[in-house]
Amino acid sequence: MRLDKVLRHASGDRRPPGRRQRLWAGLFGAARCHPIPPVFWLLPPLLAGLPHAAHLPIWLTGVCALLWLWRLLLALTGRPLPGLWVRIVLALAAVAVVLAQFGLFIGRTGGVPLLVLLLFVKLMEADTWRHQRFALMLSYFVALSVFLHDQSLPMSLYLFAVAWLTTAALAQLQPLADADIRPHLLTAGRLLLAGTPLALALFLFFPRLPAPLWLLPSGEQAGRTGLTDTMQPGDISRLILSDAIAFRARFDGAPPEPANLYWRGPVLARFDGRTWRAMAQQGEMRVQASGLGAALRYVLTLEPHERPWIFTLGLPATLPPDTRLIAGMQLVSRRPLTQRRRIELTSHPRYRLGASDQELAEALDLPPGYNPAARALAQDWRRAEGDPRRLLERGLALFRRDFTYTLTPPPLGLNSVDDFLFSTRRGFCEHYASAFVFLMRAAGVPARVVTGYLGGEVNPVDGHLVVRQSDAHAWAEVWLPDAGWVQIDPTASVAPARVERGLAAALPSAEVPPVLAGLHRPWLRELRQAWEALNNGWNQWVLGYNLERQLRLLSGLSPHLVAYAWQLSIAILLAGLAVMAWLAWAGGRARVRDPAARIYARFTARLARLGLERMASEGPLVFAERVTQTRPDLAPAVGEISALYARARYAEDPTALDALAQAVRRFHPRRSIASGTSDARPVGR
Amino acid sequence: MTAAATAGEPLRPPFDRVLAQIEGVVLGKPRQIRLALTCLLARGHLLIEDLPGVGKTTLAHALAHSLGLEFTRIQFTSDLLPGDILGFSVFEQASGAFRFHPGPIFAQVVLADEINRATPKAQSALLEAMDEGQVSLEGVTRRLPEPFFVLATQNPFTQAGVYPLPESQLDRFLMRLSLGYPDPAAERALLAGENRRPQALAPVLTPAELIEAQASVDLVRLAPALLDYLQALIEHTRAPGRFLHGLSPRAGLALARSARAWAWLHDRDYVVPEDVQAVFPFVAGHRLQDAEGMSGGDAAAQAVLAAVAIP
Repeated sequence: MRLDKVLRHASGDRRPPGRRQRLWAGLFGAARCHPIPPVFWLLPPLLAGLPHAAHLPIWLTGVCALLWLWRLLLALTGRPLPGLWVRIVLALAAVAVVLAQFGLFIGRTGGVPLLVLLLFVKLMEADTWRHQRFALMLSYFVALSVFLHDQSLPMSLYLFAVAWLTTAALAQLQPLADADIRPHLLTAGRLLLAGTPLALALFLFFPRLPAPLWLLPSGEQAGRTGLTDTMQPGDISRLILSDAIAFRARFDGAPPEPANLYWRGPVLARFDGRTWRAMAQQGEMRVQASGLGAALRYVLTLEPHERPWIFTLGLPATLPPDTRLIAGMQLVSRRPLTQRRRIELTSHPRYRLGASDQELAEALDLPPGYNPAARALAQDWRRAEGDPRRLLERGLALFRRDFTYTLTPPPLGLNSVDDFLFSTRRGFCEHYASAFVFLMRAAGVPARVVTGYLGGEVNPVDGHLVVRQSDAHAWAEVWLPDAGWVQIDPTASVAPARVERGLAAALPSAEVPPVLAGLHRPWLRELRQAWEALNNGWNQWVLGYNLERQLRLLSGLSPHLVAYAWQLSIAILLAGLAVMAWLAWAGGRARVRDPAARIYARFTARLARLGLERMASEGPLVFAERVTQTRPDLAPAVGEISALYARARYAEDPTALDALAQAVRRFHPRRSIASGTSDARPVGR
Repeated sequence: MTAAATAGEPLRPPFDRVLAQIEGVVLGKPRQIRLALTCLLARGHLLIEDLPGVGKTTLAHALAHSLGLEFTRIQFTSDLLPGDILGFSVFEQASGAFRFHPGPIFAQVVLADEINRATPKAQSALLEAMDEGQVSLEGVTRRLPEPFFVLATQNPFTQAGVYPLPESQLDRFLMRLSLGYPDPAAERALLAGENRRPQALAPVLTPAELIEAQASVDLVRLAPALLDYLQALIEHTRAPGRFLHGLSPRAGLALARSARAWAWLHDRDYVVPEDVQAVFPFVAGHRLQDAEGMSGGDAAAQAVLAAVAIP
């Protein structure tokens, strides 16, 4: 090609490509032709906004989705974006609507919806790379704000992927960049991998704060499953339908037998005929309790249940920080457990627990009038036996006779204990505990209901004992003058398998709830165990990595690290500043190279892959001519790019620089001349 | 051949017509004609080194007539005196005063034929006038006309009876080029054709237009990237042992000016590396001597071009 053609080509007036071609290119964003910019950058905002849909009102999600679809359609058809006034109205409407719905912009409830909505409004004005890059930066932030709701491992992985795609989209929106997304995905992947060690180092060594800088408002306290401070017939049988994890325990050494794992929770002593309620006395425990025998050491990781109870095996030997032991030997946290909490415990499974007069009086109190038959039966026993232990035996023996352990007991009437004992005889642990305690009280033995969890399952993957809501249990505690409070589990008389082998083994097979039934398949069980172990590891080591653990890690590395923490911090800070200064300096040096020259280098690199290497002393136009002689099919593209480069570099024409960037993005020469046409041939010629 | 790339480009009008017209009388030498026009536009002087009879004089005539410039010719001989070039004062009886008779140098295009046949004294008279653009004689300074373009020819050194121009004086010529024998086709056309008289050429543009063109050459953009390139080229010639002397700053200026003029002539208002490469052999060739003191010429210049990367 003659040079005059080359040069004329630079100012070329190409006809705009047809709509169909643009649509095709937009949809498949391939290297074939790029009459419109790729739409890949629209993906990360969508993916970043997606997890918020679970927490946003449905109409807000719908508005965001509509905005996104509208923007996608405009991008694919190449139509202009809405005008300035439309965008201003959209933005103001977004602010007004969020203000009306949520009131405040601050925090998770109002700020996040506003942020998400504005991101999608921002898309409507993102017609240039600058705006699109801004939208992508905002996507990072929106993705980050998902952590305010969900910090689980799957969500973290998802958000990591979003960060990856966002970075790739950002890489694509650069003047030098390839139109094809694949190399940018690679680049972004490499960047993330390269950043990982730094992120890890910061995670491990960046000073942890003893408390969060700000308290996250927690809106969703309702709806969490778990034990409460009341119990009615049917409460626990509903609770055990959930296989959500209540807490995990890791023992020093092997965990005790399942039958001994009575995790003590709320103690319920007040009875109104139907509902059991917490003890009236909630102050610090005054009565002395003493441990008998060896103590168990274990670490609990409690899932948030919005209540203060910490489930222990017997009597805590020492009080963990921020907890207290209240009447009834209940270990409670000073604040409700709204976040996952890790607690190290030492406790005596065998203990002797005394009682105050008030406690004993409460443990004998029965509402007058209810359950006359049970009352009469207990008084019969009482007349026959003087020894409380004999009374216990009678009570338990009663349950051994034709009672059925079932999840689906028939409904009980006003006199629930009577109905249960004398007509239905079908019940779940709360029925047995409740009826037993009633009988004991009627017979004059102080008794109360203790709720908590029984058993648990050791996950072989990480050795943690996992206790689920389905392990919820209720049992009884009776007062024996010579032994103090003694734990009695009436359920064990009805269904010994429940205590020894767990719920699924104790129930009739037709009644096993689906959450438990599936676990009979070994592979499913193993999968779940592995998954839960992974989650637990995440919770323990990532989410649970607090100041205390950090200090322990540091002192594990070297005892001096903690002693010289300040000096070290300053040294690390200075080193970081030095590295940043060096990077800025090196980056500044790299930037000296002309942008046009950098783009042109890409072009020559692509030709070099075809064996057409530019000599260092070869001017761009001479090189173009040489290439054209070898590959006449590339003449238009090569001519255009070379002429644009000459203009951009030597006439320092900024419009030529943009056109050059575009032209080089389009330039993907085929290796063989035999294929006839070239990808680089501009569309519409 | 690196300069070939820009050799086919069309010229900026009306120089395309000038080129076409001169090509009609100087057959098969488009490149040399372009270089001669470049030299003229760059306000430089041209040295043509070649055998007698290859069309040097014809080129000079054709240039002068096409551009509407007045033309004189000085045949340099061994007995030529400075006065024969510059002119001299004669006492006039009628006025009773000396009156200056301007020499042949007072013309817009001066053909200094066989400049190396004259003695250095005569040569330097010409070269000083070329450099200064004025003639100082008997205490009076007289400006030379504008545009002022000296087209000197010289015979190859191998011929007998020549006084080679010293380097300092070679440096005053912006370019040196040789015409060479015509290629067979051109030669045949020459032999077969009618008498081509350059004197018959009609002027294409006026001297004023030429001056204007020279002024606009100065506005051609020389990007920093090209300054880097020029410096790299000059630096390369100055490396120890490569040449007897490296290119002087004046040579650098000449190179920049020539590249600008070449770019302008080829209808571009910015210089590309190809422009520098097109003029470099002719601007640098006569200024570079190899270590033995022999003129480096075209080959040396090409070697420099091939060795220096374009930044």
